[in-house]
Amino acid sequence: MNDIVDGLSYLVAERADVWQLLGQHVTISLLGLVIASLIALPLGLLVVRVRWLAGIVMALLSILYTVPSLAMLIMLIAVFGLSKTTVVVTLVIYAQVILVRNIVVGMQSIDRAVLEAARGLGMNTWQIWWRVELPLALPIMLAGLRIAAIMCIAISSIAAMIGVGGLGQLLFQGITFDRADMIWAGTISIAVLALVCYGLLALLEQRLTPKI
Amino acid sequence: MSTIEFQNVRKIYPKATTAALADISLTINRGEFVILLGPSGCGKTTLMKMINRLIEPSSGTILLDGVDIQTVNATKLRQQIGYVIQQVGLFPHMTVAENIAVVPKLLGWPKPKIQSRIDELLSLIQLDPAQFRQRYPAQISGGQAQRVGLARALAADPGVMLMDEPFGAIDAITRTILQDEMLRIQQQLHKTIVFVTHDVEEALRLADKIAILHEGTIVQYDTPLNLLRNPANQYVAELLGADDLVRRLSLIQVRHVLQPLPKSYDASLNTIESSHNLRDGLNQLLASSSDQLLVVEHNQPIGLLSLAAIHAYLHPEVIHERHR
Repeated sequence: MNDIVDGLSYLVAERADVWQLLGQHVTISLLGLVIASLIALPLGLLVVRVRWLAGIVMALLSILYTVPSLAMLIMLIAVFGLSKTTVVVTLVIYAQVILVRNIVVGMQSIDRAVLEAARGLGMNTWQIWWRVELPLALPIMLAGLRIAAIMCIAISSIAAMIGVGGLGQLLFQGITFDRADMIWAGTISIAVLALVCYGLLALLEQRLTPKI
Repeated sequence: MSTIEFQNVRKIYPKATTAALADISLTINRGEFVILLGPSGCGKTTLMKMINRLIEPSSGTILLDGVDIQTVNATKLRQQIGYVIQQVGLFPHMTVAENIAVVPKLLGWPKPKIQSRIDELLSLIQLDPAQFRQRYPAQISGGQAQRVGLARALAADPGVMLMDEPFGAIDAITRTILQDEMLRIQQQLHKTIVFVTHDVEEALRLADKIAILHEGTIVQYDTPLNLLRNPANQYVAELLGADDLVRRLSLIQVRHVLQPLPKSYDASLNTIESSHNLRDGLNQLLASSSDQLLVVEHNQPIGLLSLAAIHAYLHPEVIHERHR
């Protein structure tokens, strides 16, 4: 219990540093998430429309997903060096599976009769997407985004290992210097970040879900 | 209110050995309620979906008001054609009002015009606007949903309505009500309607003309009464149950068979509206103690209906004189 209090007091005492680490953590996670989403959306829509691609893409992504994140980081260091790029690429790869799968499930959950009606009434492909498919698939897509965001925050913590900062740094330094208060400070701050992020996205999801 | 003309239309699906539709030529006149009737797989839905280009023919031409529909942009074409399907397909994330507004919005109607159109259509399909405008599809019954589906298709006042087994998934009681509504609405609006069904009773009840399809060809195309009187072949006769005399009676209004009102008549006779069909008339005759019914129109007696007259009607040589 004392350790937790020590952790909290560390957060207060070193708030300037903590804010900086938080900023780094959020930047890396957000960058990974945004890039991942920008790739996942067209990829997901392609997979929905081209049936035979679905199996191949999903299998490939699932295989990548089974690689432990630490191993992935180390492998990618060989390519991108000890840089933010390595971490962001790792995030993009992991988030891909979750995002693409939820886009596919979201799109497939739409009643085919609704799509036939949309086409029969004279909507073009773009109008069907914007007015029918997107609003109906959005709740499931956003659920994917929420899970992917939490995962990005978690993996970004490990990224401190390769020296790109983030709240994970508190954990690793705490272990190195045998400082329980730093370990707790890191744990608490990452947990709070994850919870706040989850809450905000859940709120957004609720706002954008059609009231049926 | 438009004319639809199929000229030597064929459809062969890729990898299929036989044609789904073989050399169809068919004219649907403006304002006619035409039913495409046949068992599943006969090509009736394919034929209908070619009119709004959801399915493209392999060869042949389809003219809408004399214009080859291939020369019209497919989405523009569909916006001018009402479309109703069996599963309704209302947009679950839109209210009833928003569902009805879809096509007017696509056409860029001004907002006040759309709003008044929504109320007009809700009244037409007998759903109270105040009560139903803001409801979501999940909050209304199946029958109400299909009414809204009909309103949505009628929204931009299209000349042509395509209806793909619209009442097929609805319970028998509601279906009868909706069929009556459909007849009432058609009397008001005079649309050119192409309606697909495999339900013979429904076809006989609703259609001005029925096209009977069998294995990708039109076997016979005529009015319900003529189809029952002169079926082209055994297939048509069996499909329609042409030897079912009571069924035939249900297609003829009492007014066509009534006898002139004699100078003196029994005013205490049971009455029947002249617009009712002979099947109702027969039913009432059998139920009443007398062998005559007093036929009324606008509450005025105009003639008598007797068992003998119905019997005489069922003999072809007598029909020609009496009917029409």
